Amino acid sequence: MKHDLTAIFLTQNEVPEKWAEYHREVLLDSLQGAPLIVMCRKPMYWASERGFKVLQQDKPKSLSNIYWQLLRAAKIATTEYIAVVEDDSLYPREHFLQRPKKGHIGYNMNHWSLFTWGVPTYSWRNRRGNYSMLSERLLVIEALEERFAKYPNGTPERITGEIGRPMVERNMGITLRDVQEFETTVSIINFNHSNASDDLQLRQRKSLGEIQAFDIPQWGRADNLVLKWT
Amino acid sequence: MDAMKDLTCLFLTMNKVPWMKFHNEKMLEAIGDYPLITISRLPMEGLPGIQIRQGEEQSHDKIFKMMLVGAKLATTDYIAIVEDDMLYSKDHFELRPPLDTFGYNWNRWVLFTWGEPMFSFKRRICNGCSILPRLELIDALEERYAKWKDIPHLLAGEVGLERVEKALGVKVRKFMPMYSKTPVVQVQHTFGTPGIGSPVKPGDTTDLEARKVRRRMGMMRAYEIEHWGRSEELIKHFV
Repeated sequence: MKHDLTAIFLTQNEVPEKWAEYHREVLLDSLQGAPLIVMCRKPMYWASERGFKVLQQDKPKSLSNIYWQLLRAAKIATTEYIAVVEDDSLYPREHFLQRPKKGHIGYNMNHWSLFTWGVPTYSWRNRRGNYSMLSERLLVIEALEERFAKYPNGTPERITGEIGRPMVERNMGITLRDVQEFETTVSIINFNHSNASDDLQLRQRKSLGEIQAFDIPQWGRADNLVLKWT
Repeated sequence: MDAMKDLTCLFLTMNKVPWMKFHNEKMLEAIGDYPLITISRLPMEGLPGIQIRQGEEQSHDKIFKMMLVGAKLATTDYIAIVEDDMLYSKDHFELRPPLDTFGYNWNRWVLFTWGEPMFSFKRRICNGCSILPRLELIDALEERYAKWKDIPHLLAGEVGLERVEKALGVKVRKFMPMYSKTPVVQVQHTFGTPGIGSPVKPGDTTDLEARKVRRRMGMMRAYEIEHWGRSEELIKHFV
């Protein structure tokens, strides 16, 4: 089967070991054979043994680095589409089957956050997250090259954020990209944890999203799923 | 200002749903001491406040006409629309948009009375979730009815919804999504106003009654939510 989408897996290799194993199982099942490029800090033998491209990250950990590594991987990929995979997010199969409109950055808005602290609760906020981005590869390259042409030493932390978020692109003084939001019937799960790049998560000061649930299709109860983060 | 004095609950019902007793118990718990105006087809025993009657006609147009009647009868700054297929939380009635903006609570789960019992969520506004500045509401509805004697089914819709107001050729009003801490639940059923469901497309001959079951669940779904518990338990009150 010819795949037209490459998943780009961004990891600092800082997530708990058992979680990483669980995440890998879920990811490989969801990808259904689609190509994967891994951008990591440590060797990821499971990926290289399967023939996936594995590259070491070449800049220090930062928000800007996330997008730099995404750009590097997007340039290596050859498929028409790419999808971001983050090491703290679980993806349903159907996520990778989505194709946003041409010329639009796609975001899956069916995403639940699950905090590793506090009462286990799925929560949703009306916000686009990089972990749920799936777009035309050349459009992503164009958007990120524009950023790094303007900020060759990396984008400032306080204004760095997702492609297609108007506030981010306005603050950076770059082109505002068109976005198509879509929703899968099964959700993406994004864990919020204290190894993240987001300062609010690091300090466990992030608040739950406004829409909340305890038990959802496919992923089950929040208090069970959160136990996977070990 | 004392919040209890600035909002009136306006309860609209055609008395067709079989779960009225359960609904009213939950409604009275949630509205507490807020004034209540009920516009119903049949007398409603056990409800405080003002009651007025409405006739047999069931249409979207009539809903907005009844809202105008209720808004003129009330005296508070805000009106909260209460529907007989919505379960409300106390804090829903504590939401307040600015006085020139129609507020809609987005923390709304929908529970279908058919299919697998499951809560689902969509990012969209609904009349039963609205907290409306009264004078702005009167102004908006009077503008509509100055232009339209009766608003056709396909053009009727929420105040502040740009698509609706542009189609009606009236001023586009401000609206904002709000989120109550505790969710509200809307029951999707077949006793409601005919014609709900997907917009009619050219060549679509589905009748308005059948359209009631053409609604689709939101993509975000859950089996258990805060306050209301499990979907398979809550649905038992409605089937």
